[in-house]
Amino acid sequence: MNFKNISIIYNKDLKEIMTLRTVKYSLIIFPVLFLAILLFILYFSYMNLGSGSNLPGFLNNTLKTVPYSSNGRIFYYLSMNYLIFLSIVPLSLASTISSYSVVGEKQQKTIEPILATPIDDREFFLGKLLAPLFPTIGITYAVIAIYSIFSDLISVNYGYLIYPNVSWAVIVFLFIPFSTIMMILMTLLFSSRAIDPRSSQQFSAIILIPILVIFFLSMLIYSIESILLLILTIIVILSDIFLFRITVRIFDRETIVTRWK
Amino acid sequence: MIEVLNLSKKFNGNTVLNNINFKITKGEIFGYLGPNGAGKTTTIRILTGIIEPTSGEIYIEGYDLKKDKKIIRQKSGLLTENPGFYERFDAMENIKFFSRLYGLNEKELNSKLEYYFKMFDLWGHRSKPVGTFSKGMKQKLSLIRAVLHDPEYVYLDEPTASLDPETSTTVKSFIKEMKKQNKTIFVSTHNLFEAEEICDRVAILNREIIDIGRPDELKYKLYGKKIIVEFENDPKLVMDILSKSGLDFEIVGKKAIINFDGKSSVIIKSLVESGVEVSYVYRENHSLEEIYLEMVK
Repeated sequence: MNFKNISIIYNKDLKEIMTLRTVKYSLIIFPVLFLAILLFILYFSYMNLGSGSNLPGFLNNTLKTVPYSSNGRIFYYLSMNYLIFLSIVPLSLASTISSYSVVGEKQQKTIEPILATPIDDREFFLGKLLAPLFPTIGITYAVIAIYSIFSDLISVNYGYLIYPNVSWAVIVFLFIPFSTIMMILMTLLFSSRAIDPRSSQQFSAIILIPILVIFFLSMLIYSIESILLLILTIIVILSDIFLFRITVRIFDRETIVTRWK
Repeated sequence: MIEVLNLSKKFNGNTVLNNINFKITKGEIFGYLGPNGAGKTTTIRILTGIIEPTSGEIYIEGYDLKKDKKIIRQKSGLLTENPGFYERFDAMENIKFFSRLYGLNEKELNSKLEYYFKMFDLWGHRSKPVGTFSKGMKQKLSLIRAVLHDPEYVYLDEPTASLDPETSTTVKSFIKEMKKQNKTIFVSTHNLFEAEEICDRVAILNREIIDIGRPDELKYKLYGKKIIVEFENDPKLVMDILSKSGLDFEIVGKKAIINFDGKSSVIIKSLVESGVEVSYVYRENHSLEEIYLEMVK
């Protein structure tokens, strides 16, 4: 495998995406707006926690291992929950970039000249997979870093720092990258059949977002149980492997040339 | 040399190419003629390693296409039927992207780019987005992309389709120039006049090869070598003279169409000596278009 070819496809895709003003701005505006809203809600929640607020029984039971005061536990729970919501940021960004990257090739009929070069199918596929992955993860990590620092600045008032912790590490380093890969693979799958980027994004969102929402809901309940988070992440990884196999088949050059229309 | 042996291709059970065989020698311009759906683009895609044949063998310069696809693709340049460029990138960025995939380094690239962009009169447009280019400019850019990595085998899919006469002439001159550099050129075209003008040999295809040969060979094979003699005398007299000579002929009005492979002066001399007043003598000429239409019927 020639990594130079992968990086040529990767760089070209990124450069091309950045020439689309609507996409470029949505890559900046959506994460900033989403982060601002979450920070506001988090701060608002903190300001409205009365002294000795009580948690519902099931959460109290789950959070009993957290060695903080009652309000400290509530803030911990809220912050972890909002962190899970931040997973929507990479999913949205990845879907936007990857749908343009495949449909753009189809619309401009650039696939045949690419496949006539000495690049092989895997290099082309990996370039297409990584182009949305790295910038998406980069932006998401920046957003999470700001969010985590903000949460820590508040939690200091309860005498502890929420982040980093094991659950946070599972979400940030496992769940987010692998669910982003899942979204990209799904979008690539649909892009190969779609004629415009919007329909490909919509198809992948229709299929994937309900599945991921189930994961989010499970995490909301068990957000501090790192073992459960890990199990959910493993399910996502297994789904990635399954989707990867299907998508690689679609990135077979004969299929690309004859059916990507 | 390109050697194609028993090549067949099926898509979902439908035969697109059936038992194709031909050889193209180094430095030859080989025309590939056929109606829409005849399999011209499919053949080019197989020869350039874009898709796999269903059966058959292909050797290019001794390399087996099944095993040495990457080497073969490196040695090949392709002008696709649709130019296929990133519309928002400028002309330079587009060509640089494709050239990097052929392994060209920046230094090599920059000197070659200037040479070819100036040759095709695109130097002044090098920083403009390709989306603003005319069809002719895109086709010239596509030709630059096909040859920038100095391939030994150049495949041109409909190189002059829907181009204005000026651009079409530039493209044809460039094809002839490549032949001088001993490049092997495979041209798929609908334009039979163009094929006749630039190709050393042509293959007529309709899912299978109908015939292969030099354009003049194909003409003679189909119509024979005919001499037409126009005369002033009574046709009966000419008919009597020609009948005695044992030649294969036909009289149409005051024209004698004689199937004769030798020198026309021999016939004229014998007709004049027999008292025929000859006004015009010429060889019957058929265009490649007529041959093509006759063959694909």
